[in-house]
Amino acid sequence: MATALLRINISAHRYIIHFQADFGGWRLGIALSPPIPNPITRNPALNAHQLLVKKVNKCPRKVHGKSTAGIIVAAVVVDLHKPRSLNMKSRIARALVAALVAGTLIFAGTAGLGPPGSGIIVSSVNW
Amino acid sequence: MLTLSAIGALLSGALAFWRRPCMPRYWPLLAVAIVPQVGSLVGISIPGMFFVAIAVIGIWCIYNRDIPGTAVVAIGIGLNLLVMGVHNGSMPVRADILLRTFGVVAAPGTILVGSKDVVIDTSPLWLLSDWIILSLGATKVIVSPGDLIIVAGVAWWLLFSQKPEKDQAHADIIDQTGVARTAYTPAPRAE
Repeated sequence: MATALLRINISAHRYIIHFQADFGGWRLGIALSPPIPNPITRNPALNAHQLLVKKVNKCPRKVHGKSTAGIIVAAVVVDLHKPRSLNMKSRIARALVAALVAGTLIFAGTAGLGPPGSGIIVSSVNW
Repeated sequence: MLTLSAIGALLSGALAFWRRPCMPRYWPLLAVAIVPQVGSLVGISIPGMFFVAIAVIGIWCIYNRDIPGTAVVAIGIGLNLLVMGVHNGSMPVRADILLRTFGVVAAPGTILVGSKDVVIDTSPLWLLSDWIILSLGATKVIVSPGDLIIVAGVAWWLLFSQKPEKDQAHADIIDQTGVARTAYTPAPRAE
């Protein structure tokens, strides 16, 4: 399940290099930012930090680490938060609806011809 | 096809159980589309009834056009609808393909009971008819290009229309409010 969804985003926004990996809900994000002060907070560290809060870590309280060093302000977030699983009832309900929709679309929408004698689709009266 | 549909439904349900696709609206409308197929299983045959089923699915696709994959399904439905419209609401299957696949001789014009198909000799739209032979182990089925496109559309819907889970959507809202709060925090005044 951890390798089920791998999403990697690399973006350069406001001179911030941003790397994000999502392993089925386990998120890892790294952002590097030049020391350009944030126009509002005047704090260069917040450039990378804000981006991580926005892009990587869906909940600001989950930021684990942030560091500044040298001429590059770097922020690293390793988020070990795994999304909670949905209610089992709603999962089953949506699975049933999806199965119904997909089965109906395939069954009624397609016009495929099965083998004769299967007793399901083909038994010609005139053969 | 019933077995294939059941397998497709099971796979789709398992996929939707694991990931959350965008659920289509007006899905009970599809019950109307399935009536002619069920009717054919019990031996009821009304000319053009499968045409109605295909048309209903087309309408359903229009209602759900914003969901990924339904446009692909609509294309497949459209192709089937086009060729069935030319042949009085039945899906044509060439006699030579029927003979080659199942070893059955049928005269052109024969309506195949329990299916949507009518046997033809030739047709200007034969490329859209049932002519693609799929071997599933010992079983063979003949499908049309529209059928394959419909199955691809269903797969597209299930795989690429993921909707964020409820708690994730809630976290997104918290995130946006948190970012907005940070962005508008006034700078500390220099002493």
